[in-house]
Amino acid sequence: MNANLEVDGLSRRRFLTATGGLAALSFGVGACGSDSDGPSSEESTGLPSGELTGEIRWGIRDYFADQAKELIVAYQAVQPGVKVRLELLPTAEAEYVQRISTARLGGNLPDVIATTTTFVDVFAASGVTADLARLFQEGGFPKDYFVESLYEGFRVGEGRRRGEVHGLPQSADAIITAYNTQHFEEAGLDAPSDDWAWEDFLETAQRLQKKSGDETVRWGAYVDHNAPPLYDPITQSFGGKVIEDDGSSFLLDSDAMLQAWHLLIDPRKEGVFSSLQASQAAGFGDLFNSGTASMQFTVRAAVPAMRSTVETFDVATFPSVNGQNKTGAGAVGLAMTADANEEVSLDFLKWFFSEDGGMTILGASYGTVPPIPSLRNSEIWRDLPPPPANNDAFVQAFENGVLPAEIPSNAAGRLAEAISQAGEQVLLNGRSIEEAFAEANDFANEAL
Amino acid sequence: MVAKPFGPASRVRTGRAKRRARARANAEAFLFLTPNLLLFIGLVIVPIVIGFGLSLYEWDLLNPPIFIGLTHFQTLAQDPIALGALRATLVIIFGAVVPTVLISFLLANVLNSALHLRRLVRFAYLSPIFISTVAAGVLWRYIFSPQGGVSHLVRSIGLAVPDWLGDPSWATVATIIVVIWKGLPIATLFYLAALQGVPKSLHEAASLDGANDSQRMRYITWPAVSDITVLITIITLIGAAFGAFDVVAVLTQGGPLRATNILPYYAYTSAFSDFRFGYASAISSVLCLIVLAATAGIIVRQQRSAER
Repeated sequence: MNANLEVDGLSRRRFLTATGGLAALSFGVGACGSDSDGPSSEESTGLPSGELTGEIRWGIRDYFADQAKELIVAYQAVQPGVKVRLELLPTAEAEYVQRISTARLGGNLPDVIATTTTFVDVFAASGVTADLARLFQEGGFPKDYFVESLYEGFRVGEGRRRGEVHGLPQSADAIITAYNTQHFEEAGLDAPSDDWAWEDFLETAQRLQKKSGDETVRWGAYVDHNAPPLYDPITQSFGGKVIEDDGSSFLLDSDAMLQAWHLLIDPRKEGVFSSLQASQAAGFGDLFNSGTASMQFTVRAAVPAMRSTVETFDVATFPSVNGQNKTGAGAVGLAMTADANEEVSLDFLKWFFSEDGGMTILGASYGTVPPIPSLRNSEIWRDLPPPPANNDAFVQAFENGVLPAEIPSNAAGRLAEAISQAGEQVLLNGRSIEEAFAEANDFANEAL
Repeated sequence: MVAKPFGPASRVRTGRAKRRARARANAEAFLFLTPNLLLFIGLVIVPIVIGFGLSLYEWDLLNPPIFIGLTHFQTLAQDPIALGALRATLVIIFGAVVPTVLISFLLANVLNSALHLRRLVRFAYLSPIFISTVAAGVLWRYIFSPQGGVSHLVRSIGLAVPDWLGDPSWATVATIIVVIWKGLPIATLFYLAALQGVPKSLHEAASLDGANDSQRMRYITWPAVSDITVLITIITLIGAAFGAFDVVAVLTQGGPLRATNILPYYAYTSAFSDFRFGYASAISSVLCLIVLAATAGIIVRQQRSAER
């Protein structure tokens, strides 16, 4: 570990970083700052003038490609003199960081990039992103334009650039449960209630499981114990945490975490949740989308893919655990890079986040819950034709959202590997959860 | 005019002319080699040297590198994961090289014969060249899945279907199968070219002496292509050592239980998951030295047996 490392005055002790969770499970933070409808339309930003010329490159995560193309067509209709070129950035966190880092070293960063709250401090400190304060100056967005908690997630917390805003939230989202309504009907099950608990979820999954002889042909639910947006809030529901507050030690074998691991892994051993092999052979969402799993934990961003493959589905809240309603949350957004074509990039971002511009298109695409209070109850996304029908679940999940633990950047990969290895030891080698995660904890702590 | 005598003066002129001619020939050869040599030095040698240099630093890509000398190599020697990765790499190398050499030799002989199915075989063995590794990895992942073709075949003959990608041993076997499949086209092409150079008269003479097909293959063909066998062994060894990375990245991600966590993949995760670029360079440097040593050993052994 680099004990003497200083980056623009930022101490090495704590970098926010992605924990290797699935990018599609990064969401808007719950507990929004305002329950009101937000700023009036007179206070919202106007649309670009149409006189700009130039070209920018927009780096997006690959799952966002279809929506991005639609947005580019719409923006270029407003600014015909501007060309926006799409570049795909990997969805997997390690590959995403690799691409951004090497692009920065090569002086080849796109002008605008997809980002998350977990990268704000480290990207600001290493000169990847730029301050977006100009978007809030005269003629720009009002100060309370975005949901406050989402907006604050993109404010730099430490170092020379403390207080600057190095990204803006593109969506407000948190984990919900997607379920196949046809499977429920066949099994004679009622739709999940808003206050269902983990025990109800497990019982439902057991009734949905289908076997042919010894072979499971349909799992009750696709659940991946490796996903931080799952194990972190469950651990918090049991009063625990993933890492000590001072970042000195992981707590993978604490009582609270062991309870979380048992909830997530024991049903995998029994064939109620998807097996390790099936989950690894399929991509995220594939088991549910192909009808091989009847339920899955997912986010609004995954709805377009579900709509194109599963005709009969709806959504429900994440089940409560230990009497607590906590849901995995985060935020995805856009940032302008330090070497960007500033004039065109800021104009694009202004259009993208405007109520009458990009936000309307995103809301209508099924893939986004707008991060703007004035659009939170808008029919643009609330009244879209089903599925899903139960859009209240997204709002409730958003309110129950909890942030993942801050993991030091040099330990995130080790943590993910430790949990993955422990899970394999339990599911493939028959080791006890207690033993496997005690060893995993020691392994992960070597990186701290 | 005085006749020029034979003797030292005329031998010097002849020797000088010969040296001049040889120097001219060497210069021409060097001129033709230079472009490729420059590319090779710039794109292969220089990065290798830089990689060795980087292994002496602690660097997370976002902050300035810090010189730590040979610390990474000391850590590597005691790292149980690295030792496991070395074991996995050697298993895949040895598991892939011998079958690739033998199968490609047999395939080349089939293609070199007047067999009716020659065209079909030619298409089949060349197809891996046209499929990208990622696409191939996705295909093979399906093939090895419980619903895939291999599992159906095994089930249809009454055998228990192995957990190809979920069992550590079978995952290694699956990886080796894909590495062999990838290496067959080039190896077969090399053997096919070499077989064209085996004189037919040798086969005819052996037939007259009563040798059958397998005896001719063993005592005539196989020794006649021994130089190519060495080349293919080296190429396959390098391909298995380094080229298996993309197979592992798509098929198994180093699992299950690190069974397929080969050294190149471990270097990759050390760099881009753990942000330890210096340590990753140390791993790559060690792997490079192992492959160089193995290659040198093969060449020396071949030269000694040729001298005998």
